[in-house]
Amino acid sequence: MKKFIGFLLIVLFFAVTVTLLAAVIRGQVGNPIYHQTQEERNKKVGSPFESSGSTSRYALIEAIVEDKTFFFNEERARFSAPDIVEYNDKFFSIFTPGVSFFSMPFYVLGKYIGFPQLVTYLSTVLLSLINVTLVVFLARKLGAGLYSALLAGFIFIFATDALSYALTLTQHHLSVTLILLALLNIFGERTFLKNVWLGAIYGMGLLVDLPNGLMMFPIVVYALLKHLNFDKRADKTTISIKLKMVTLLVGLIPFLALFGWYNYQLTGSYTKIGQTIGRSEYFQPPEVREKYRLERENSDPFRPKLPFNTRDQLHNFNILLISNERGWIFYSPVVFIGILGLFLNHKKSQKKEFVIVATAVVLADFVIYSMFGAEGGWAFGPRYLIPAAAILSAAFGVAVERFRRNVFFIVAFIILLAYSLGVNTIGAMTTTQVPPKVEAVNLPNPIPYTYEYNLQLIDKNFTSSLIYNLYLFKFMSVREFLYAYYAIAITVIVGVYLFVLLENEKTEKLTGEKL
Amino acid sequence: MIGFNFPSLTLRIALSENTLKNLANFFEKYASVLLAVLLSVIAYLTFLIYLANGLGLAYNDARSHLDIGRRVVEGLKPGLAQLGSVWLPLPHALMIPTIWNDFMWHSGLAGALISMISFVGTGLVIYQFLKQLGVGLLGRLIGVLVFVANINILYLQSTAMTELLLIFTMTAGTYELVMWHKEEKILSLIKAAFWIMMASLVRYDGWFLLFFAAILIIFHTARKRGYKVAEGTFIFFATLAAFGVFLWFLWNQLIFKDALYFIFGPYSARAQQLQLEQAGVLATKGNILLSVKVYLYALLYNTGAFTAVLGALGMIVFWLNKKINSSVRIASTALLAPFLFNIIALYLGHSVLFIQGISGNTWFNVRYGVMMLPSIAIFVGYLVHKLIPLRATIIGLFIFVTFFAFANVDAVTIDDARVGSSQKNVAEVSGWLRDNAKGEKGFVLISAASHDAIIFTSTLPMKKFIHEGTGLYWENATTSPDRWARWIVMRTNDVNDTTFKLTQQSGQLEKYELVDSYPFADIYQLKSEYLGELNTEAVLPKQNK
Repeated sequence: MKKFIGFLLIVLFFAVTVTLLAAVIRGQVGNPIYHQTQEERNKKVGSPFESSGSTSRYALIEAIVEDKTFFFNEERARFSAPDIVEYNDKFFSIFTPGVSFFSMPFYVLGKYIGFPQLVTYLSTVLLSLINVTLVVFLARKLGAGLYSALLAGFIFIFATDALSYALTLTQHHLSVTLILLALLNIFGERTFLKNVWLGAIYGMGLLVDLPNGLMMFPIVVYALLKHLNFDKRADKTTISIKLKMVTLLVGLIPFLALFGWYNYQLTGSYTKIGQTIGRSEYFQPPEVREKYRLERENSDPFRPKLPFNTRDQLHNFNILLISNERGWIFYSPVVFIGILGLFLNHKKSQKKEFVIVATAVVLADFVIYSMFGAEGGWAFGPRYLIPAAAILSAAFGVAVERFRRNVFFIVAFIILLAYSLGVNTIGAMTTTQVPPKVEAVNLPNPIPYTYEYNLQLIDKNFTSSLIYNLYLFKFMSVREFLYAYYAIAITVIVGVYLFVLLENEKTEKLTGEKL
Repeated sequence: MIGFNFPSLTLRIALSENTLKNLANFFEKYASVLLAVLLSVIAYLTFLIYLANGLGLAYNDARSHLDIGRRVVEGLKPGLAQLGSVWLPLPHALMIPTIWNDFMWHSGLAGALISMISFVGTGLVIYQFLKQLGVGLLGRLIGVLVFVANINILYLQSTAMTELLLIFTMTAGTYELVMWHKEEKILSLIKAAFWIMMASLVRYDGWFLLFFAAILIIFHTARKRGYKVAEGTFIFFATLAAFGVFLWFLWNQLIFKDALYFIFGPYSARAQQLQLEQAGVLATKGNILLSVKVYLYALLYNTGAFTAVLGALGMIVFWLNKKINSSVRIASTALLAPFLFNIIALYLGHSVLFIQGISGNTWFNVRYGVMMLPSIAIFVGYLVHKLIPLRATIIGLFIFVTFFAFANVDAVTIDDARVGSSQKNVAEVSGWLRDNAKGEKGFVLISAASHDAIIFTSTLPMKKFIHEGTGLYWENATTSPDRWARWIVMRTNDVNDTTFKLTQQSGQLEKYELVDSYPFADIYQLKSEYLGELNTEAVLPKQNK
């Protein structure tokens, strides 16, 4: 009976999660929904096409399915600008093709039923649900109880900017999926299949976004090291190397080959990647193009030539952590509780190595993006830290498990969570196109560079929510919709937390698994 | 022995325990020698790089330091008095054995050699420091790597700047001070006093270290042995450690007739700072928050933000580790002396530092931030030693960040040298002198205090120039320039240029024609009709003072 109730609760939990996600899916009224045809390419704020990070990937899908090509015609290129490359008089997406390849079947299905944009973007929503599940799994592996783990998953999707980016066609959720799968892969003994799968995940990660290769590097190194064994005796030390480590390549090579083939089709070189060529200025106004030309002519010969710029690290540490522009402290401070969760586990021998690898991935995410455009352009929150937020959310479940009855913890948790949930709900309901400070202050009509911009949109009774724009607008204002949404999310959290309090303390010992 | 197990596809490599132990012992025994050789090779190769691309002489101050050293051995009035005032004498004194050679002078090697030796020495001190703290081989090597794999350090060690010599002497002094706190051996106290004395003769940062070390010694001894012993120990220490300071006061009294000439004289930093204050650019004076901010930025830009964060974490881990003797932990606060000194100096207005983006759009003296690098390196080495689970992560990320720092040539000291206020492109002025004055008889009247860079870059011998340090030549040339100076190089209408200020009063400038005006100075040439009365030889008797 207990198990059945538990099962029902999990189903209810996911049902509510799906409902809350569905409630913020983007769209406008059309015939019956806007943005589904080539004539409905509106890129205004709040639309699914508001960001070129999504349009460039969507255009690639269209080009492949409709015209069987990786190149863009001028219309698609304009739709994707500025995230396009112009090379040998042809346009193509600046992004690696993984997201587009993954979402292609969704586009085909959507096209079949008349909603190509909606169904394509549902691929990311689906990924976000998968990520909630993976965070739950990961939290359980770390020793969190069932309900603490569910809470961890919920925190990840609703109290961080993962929610806003679940509604786009960007790389973030697919990257998180692959990273979490890789982390789960390293539990237990290494087998042939596990190695092949890890290699495949790594290859897919590169196809989705190149920095994934750096973020997943600690995971791969750890997996390789598990093939080494040091046997120390009195008179000698024997190093054993299991050669099945090379089976990682079996999974990796096909995806590298695919990547190479894709590059070859675009540039004539297997190793020349679009991102190294640079963005095209073709569709920029003449004065902007002239400005860039002059900058290039007068550029400092000592200027950084590679993408990762250490001079910006100080500034970017500030941006990612504490600035009101994109800092975690302002957008999702609840993730810091996850650091406590990692710390709690670092001494437990069964989980120590996993915690080290997970911490390495979080630090790698942070350090990489401290050297590489931390603002994320026009964005909501520190979007490049979404993978780190996923891992910390899983560890958050452990902290909740440990301190669930501690008054100070509960108070801190409530305050941080309530704030994080509120901020990210506002973001998901409006737009991800918040300008970076340096651009915001120079706009002809300056707009805020924080979530204050999103609040202004709410005040103007604006929302990007399809369900609201189709139906709910008749019954409530956007602000009332926001309050209702928030209230439901809080209710879920409170409810799950009550079950956390009632949960058996022995759960951790039952779920602990040797690495 | 290597074996292969086919069913399990496992390669086995057996190493005898003796071999491993011998290898470990070999590295432990010869680590210092191996490091010294490796660091020397790095120092040499790096010097060649910066010699080839010309950046080794980009700093205006580097050229001045070399000129000061050269003036001791060559010029119209050579001698030790040319060591001058304001700038402490040790760096220039150490150049004397080599700077007589034109190549050593004009390549900058006479000064760079001292920096390079200091670079190697500092690396070894960091290694020993960590060894004495009980840090394992990996942590020690990482500490040295943090210091060595820094473009700012590699650049500065290729120049005639004084940072590396100061870093070496201060770090060595701090190391011996910590050793004394740890073992209370008198020899360590003597060595500490020696190195701190040397530091006090390089830059005034060393004077602050002297003060800080004295406080630590008094505190340590008073706590353990009472006031009387503390007093005696302090006097013993200060007799050697403060000797350099005493000599400096004495030097100023003997040479300039004023023991405080280096503080209040016309070429002192104070005089410079007063000008800057009047111009409204000494923003840090009286503003502690801005002083901290500016110096922190300089520190972070020089060491790298990621490395600095690791160093801060290592520092906290070190100081909270109760297994380390509390005396050692207290003594190690001397590693923060450069940090405290620079902030105090900025706050009091004795130092000026411009950070691009905070102090306008330029850099100036940003290299001061590199002074904390050895301390940070030591703390990072300690952190790697203690944080065993995250060792691989920290080292991996450090290598990643450092790779891109090198690949993108992220060196704020080079930026200051290239485009900041520490550089002076005097190529045009110097080039004219080289092309027109080299083969001609006659002296060039010029203020070395304002235009040392021109003197250096012209590649003309020092004895071609009449400057403030040439005694009677200067006095005569500034009162009767038409009799002594075939060319005058000065900033016209700038009363801060001593040459202009004095020659204007002579009323003889009408006998000169303006050759051209350049960004940093104008060149005047004596009209041909007055050449007949010009002195072109060094005819004055040898001057003793």
